[in-house]
Amino acid sequence: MIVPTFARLRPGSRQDLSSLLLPLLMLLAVAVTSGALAWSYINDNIVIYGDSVSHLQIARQVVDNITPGVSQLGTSWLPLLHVLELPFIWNDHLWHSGLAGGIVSTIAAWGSAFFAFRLAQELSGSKFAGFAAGLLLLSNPNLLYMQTTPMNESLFICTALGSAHYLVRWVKDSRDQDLVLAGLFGLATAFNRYEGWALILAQAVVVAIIAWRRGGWEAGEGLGLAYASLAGLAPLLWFVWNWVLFGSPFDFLSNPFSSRSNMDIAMQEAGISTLPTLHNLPAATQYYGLAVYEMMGPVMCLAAVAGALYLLWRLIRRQAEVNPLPLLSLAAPGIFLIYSIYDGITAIWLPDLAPHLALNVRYGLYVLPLMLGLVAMLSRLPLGNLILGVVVVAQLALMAMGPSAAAFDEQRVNEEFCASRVEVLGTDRCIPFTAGPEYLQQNYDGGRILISARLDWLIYESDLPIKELIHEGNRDLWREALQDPSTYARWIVMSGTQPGLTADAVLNALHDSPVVAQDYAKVFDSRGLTIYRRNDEVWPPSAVSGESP
Amino acid sequence: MKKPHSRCPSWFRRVPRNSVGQGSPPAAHIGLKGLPPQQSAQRVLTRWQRWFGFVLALGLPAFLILYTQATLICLLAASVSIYTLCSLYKLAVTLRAFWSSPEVPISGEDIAALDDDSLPLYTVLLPVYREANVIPQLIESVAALDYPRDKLDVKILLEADDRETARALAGLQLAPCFEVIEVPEGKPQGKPRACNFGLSRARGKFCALYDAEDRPDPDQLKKSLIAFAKGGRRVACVQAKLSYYNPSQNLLTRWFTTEYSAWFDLVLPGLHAWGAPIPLGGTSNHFRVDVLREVGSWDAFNVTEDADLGIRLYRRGWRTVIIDSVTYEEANSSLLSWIRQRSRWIKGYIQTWLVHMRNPLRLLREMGLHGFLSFQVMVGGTIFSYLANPIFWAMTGVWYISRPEALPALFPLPVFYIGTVAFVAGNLFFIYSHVLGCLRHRQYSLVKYAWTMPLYWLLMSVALWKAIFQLVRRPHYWEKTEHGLHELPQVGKVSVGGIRRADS
Repeated sequence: MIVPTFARLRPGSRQDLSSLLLPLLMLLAVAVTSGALAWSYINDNIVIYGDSVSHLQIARQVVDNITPGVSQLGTSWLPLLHVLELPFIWNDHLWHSGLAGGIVSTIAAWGSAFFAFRLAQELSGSKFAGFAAGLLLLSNPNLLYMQTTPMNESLFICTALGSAHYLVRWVKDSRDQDLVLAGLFGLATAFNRYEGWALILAQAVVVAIIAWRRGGWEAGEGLGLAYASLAGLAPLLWFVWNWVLFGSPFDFLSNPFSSRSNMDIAMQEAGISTLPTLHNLPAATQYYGLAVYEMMGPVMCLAAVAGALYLLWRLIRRQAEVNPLPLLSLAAPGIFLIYSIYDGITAIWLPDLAPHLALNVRYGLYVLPLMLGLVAMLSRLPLGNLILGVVVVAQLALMAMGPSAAAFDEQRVNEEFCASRVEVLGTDRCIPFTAGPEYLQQNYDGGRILISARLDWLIYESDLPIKELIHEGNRDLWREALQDPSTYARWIVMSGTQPGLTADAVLNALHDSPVVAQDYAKVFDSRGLTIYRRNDEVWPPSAVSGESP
Repeated sequence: MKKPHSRCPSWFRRVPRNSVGQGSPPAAHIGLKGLPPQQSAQRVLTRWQRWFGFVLALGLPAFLILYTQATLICLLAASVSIYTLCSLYKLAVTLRAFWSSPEVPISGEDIAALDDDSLPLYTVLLPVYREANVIPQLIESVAALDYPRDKLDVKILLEADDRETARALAGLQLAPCFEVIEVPEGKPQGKPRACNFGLSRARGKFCALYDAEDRPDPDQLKKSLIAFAKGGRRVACVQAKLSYYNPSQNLLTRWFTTEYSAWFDLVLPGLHAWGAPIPLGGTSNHFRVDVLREVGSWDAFNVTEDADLGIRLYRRGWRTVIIDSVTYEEANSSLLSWIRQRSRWIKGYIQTWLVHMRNPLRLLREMGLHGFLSFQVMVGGTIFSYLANPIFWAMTGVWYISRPEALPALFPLPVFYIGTVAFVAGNLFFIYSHVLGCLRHRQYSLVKYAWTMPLYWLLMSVALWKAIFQLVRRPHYWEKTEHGLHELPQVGKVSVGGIRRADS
């Protein structure tokens, strides 16, 4: 029997088309994220986000320092991003433009698109759902902005999606290799953000529960431990690192650069004494929920809620097509953040809620992998792919109407705040927008500078040579220089006016130092920033007064 | 239609006295017939090796006295480099095996397709020495092998002075396929010499070797034949996997089982996948008999004759493959006995390395660069790691306890960085490779013990020093491993798998 050509080709063509979806998504991912990076680069937006410069400086100090080395990675922020920046950071342009971090974040965004596709495909059994999840990821303006910056978010989303994808595959096929890959991506996640620790804990429990139900206690214990043996290395090695560097495995919790210290400073800057979310679980949940909404937009939130309700309905009827535990483990970073906000370890501030500032709104992005997975579940509904198509079109339409990148706006809100609060100084957040960098650019003429690493914005904006800086990362030299500044430093930079109220260790150590008074001249004093220069050289009197605010 | 074959029980017979071999020429027992003596461990060191050792023994202290810091820096840099390269190679080998399961693929259909009538005669060598308490178990395990009885040529190799095992054997009824051979007294006494004696009387085209306490998978001989057929003419040896049936007896047996899971389930299959030389495990090796005779069989002077034979096969262009069939053994549960056994293994590894490094250029030519490097890592590197581990751990400990100023001066920055990464990542990788081994072997209850393996490695270092000492004093002495420390299922009045006490 002769079969018409079209009849023979059609099924195959459909197959071929669906196999093109992932390559197509990856092409789109490369184009869109590279375009976003180019936009940020051209408009100098790569480093405007609060901590961007700090991340770049940490990486740069590893290779460019009086005492270079991996100890410069420090103990506050987890090191993966900074390590990944090292191949680029040595280049002055890549460092100063922020591209060294932006490139890492952009490549991570490609990985995010790939794993979003794979995770959604595994959960829904549909490549179209995978494609839709990838498009939803790429149409999130906040992620598109964050993936141009030297921040952790893009990398976190990539590795979290990767670990969830391999965990889902392990649940389906019980291949040890998938468990190892899940652990490896969990390890990367936990080496990037503390939220990752919550994720790997949840995933280890998920592995143990699933293995226990399948093979008894021994399997549960063994496989849970096997996952934790890899992923859990991140916290373990971090404790050891902290212990080796600063004598306490928990130094990251209490050092002057810790999250809690940063919160104190942020509150001090904002002039508030109590966080509205402190020990208030509903408020903490509300603030985090709103941050998620700001980051995801209404379409994603609605679709994710619908996906969650569908999953719940299937679970209640005991008809769930997939084991939901690996997907639900992606909620752990969000739960961790709500607890952190509740406990005051960190905070999220939103312009619409007290204290009407913007801080850490980007944390809402940490549940993006969970939401993508939940949205993919819609594909299992009758006409599921059509529904998903509508969601994607709505999201793209929303973006086309005017992208709202709350993460990007965060900086603008804070800049306005800084401009309006000239009297509240003694903090680092607002200083870069003042005359300090300009003064140093024009007047720095060589010599060692004693300065806290907390003023990284100032260092970066002033273009000071890092090899001439003496800061906390130089450890012994730093301690000696604080004891005897005139022997080690030609310049001293302090921020703040009242010792004890600031995290600037130079001010705290030297604000009333007779050595400074005797050996140094105050050459700049403006908006809480004070610069001293050693007296042993002639100094033009006109420069001493500095610049008025 | 496949011809059914029965097991042995009803036609057991007493040990026939006339079946005990007598008076074979001693030259046949020591192996390496027709091979130059420099390929045997009979002489521990050749002349140039002795000179090299002598110069090293004099030169190193002299350099240490004259140029203390520079010499120590060079030694540390060399150690760090070796350790790093070994770790990377073992990482590649382990991951290859974990990802691709490179054992020869053998399906149930492959086994079912074998025609019993066309199976070749298979010799099974069972060297035993003072194994009276496990001999019934051994006979039972061999009797349980799924292979036509008339195609089996089982040789129990009994040392002449082993009256105890002979008495135990006398109390058993053995099937006609069993032959008890008395290995005449001679030096060096040990398993390889007995095996060579057995090989000289082997009638099979293929032969397998099992230890006294072994319990091989019943289909292992058939799997081995399929592997030979699939592997092609260059495959001379098939190595089955070893594991232990008493892992939960105590901490030592848990460690031992964990170690074997990593070695036999990952490292050896990885070497097989990379086409690298495989230091054979001491039992469950299957050979083409003609090739085995051609390469000189086992070196009676080498106390890890298995590892040496694996390397020699590779040098002659033959290949070893791994099959997914397990032989269960008894893990040594006594610490002192374990140290004796392990010191023999390490001594044998040193012998093997010295023997094959007598002419490094020739070794390189015969093995190729990859084979040569793999041999250095798997044999030389293993010895080195036992030597270096406690030294580096001690240095790390001393640094964090007392921070002596002299220590940092010995580590220039590149050495420090590479050394630190290799030390941390290397140790973590080796621990994790044991986790992977447990996963592969489905030994889930042992995963947690993988994290305590560094303590086990310390014991290996103790065994290393015993091995070095013994290599000098008694290079060919065979430390007998005591078997039967694990409580076996009662074998006595009740028939167990075809074994019946004569008095029952």
